Amino acid sequence: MATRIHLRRTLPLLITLIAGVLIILDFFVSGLPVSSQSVPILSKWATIIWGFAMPYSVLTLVIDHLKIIKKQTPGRWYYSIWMLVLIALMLYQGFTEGTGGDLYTELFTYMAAPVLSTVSGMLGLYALAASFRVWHARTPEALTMIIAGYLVVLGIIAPIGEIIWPGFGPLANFFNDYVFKAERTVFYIGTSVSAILLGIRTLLGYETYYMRVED
Amino acid sequence: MTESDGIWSKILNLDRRIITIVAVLLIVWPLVKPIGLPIVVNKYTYQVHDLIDSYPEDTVVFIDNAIGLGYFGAMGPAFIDVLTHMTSKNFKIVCFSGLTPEGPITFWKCWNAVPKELTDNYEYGIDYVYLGFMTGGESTMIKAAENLHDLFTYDYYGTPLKDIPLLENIGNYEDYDIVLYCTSSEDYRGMMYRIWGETFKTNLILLAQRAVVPVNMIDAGLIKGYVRGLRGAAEYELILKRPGAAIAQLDAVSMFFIWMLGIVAIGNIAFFMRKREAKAG
Repeated sequence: MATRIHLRRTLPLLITLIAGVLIILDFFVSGLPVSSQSVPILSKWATIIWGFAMPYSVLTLVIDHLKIIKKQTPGRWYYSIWMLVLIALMLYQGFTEGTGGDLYTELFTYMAAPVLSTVSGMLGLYALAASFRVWHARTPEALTMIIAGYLVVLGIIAPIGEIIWPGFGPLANFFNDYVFKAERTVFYIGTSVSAILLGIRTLLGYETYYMRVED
Repeated sequence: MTESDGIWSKILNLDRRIITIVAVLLIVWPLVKPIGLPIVVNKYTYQVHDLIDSYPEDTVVFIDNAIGLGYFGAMGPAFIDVLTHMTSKNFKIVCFSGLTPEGPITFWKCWNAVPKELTDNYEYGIDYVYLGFMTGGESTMIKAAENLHDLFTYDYYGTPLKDIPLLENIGNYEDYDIVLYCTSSEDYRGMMYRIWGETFKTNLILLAQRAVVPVNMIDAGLIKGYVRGLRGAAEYELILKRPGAAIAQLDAVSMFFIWMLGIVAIGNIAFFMRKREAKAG
């Protein structure tokens, strides 16, 4: 039992601590043999782990959809078959001709591209209808949002704004250069300090969510 | 009269399909018959243009093209315009796609859209090279900055990197005069500032979709210029005096957003009038 706990908890924590300390040392102290030699290796490992994540996610996706097909889930199972066929087709193309193959390129250009563009366009139209329904100045905060939205559209996105009133552009730029900048600065400082604290907590073993180990 | 059958309630319950159909008509109209709305060029777009303009011939540009297919309409023209400017100055171009597997498709679409008179004298492997897609996120990007030859063994066509003349003397961030990051996503921007702007102090230019300019990053020197989506692309076309796809599409964008602002205003008036009627009644 104790060995199992060590394997599940202490070992990952130890790996995190060693890797984290080495990367911090490499960042702050230049020329330190331990860190300067080991950090490039760690970076390579990270790339390799990342490389494993992709096939793993494909595998879990295939398993999930095979379950749907096996259960014949109403309204879903035929889409799962279609998805598996496409995955197999793309994998076959990728392995035989690489990403420069004719069929691979054509599948992307004539199937994926129109579908993705349609989805983006549809989202725009849904946002349009939704903004009519819900974008009401019920509260001062909502009113601020509406004014900001008008300013962004008339001063930045659509040139017609500056035809209606030439001041929209400079006004939007003023808000961008000063108000937005101040907000972003506060945001960046806040998130950076939080990230540092989170990093320290993770290295010290207080944050264990990435291992799915609850205290 | 109940609250639900008044004129304001009817307006508030306007069929979504009517809103959508009017929007589609307003988008199509300027595409069929362009209005030619005047465009004011933003200072941030000028910064990008001036930076590129300040470099001599044979300047080496390293590009990460992360434009996804779904947003090609919004981001493609900006990339085409900047490529047009760079090729007009005979820059050497090294490109890869580090963050989206659709990168190879969008890169070649953009490259082929650059005016032929500019790319005709470009020879693959000598003046430009495309390395394809490489997964790995941040670690890949660091490796691209530290040693490109460690990251890639072959280019997009399977030619070994050692056999590509352009890459004989190009291998890390010190060799890239300008770094261009084109993206349709929000996800990796911070990483790009960190790696290219902060750690390696390169001249990073950002082509992105977001309307609001990251002024903090420009002031901090982490990015040297920003072209914002389709609007930025239209501005760039104006600076280059080469009217293209972006200027043509911007009229449609204007009409769509004017309709959006109009119906939001109508929705608000109806919302408050209905509320007032309900109180009075």
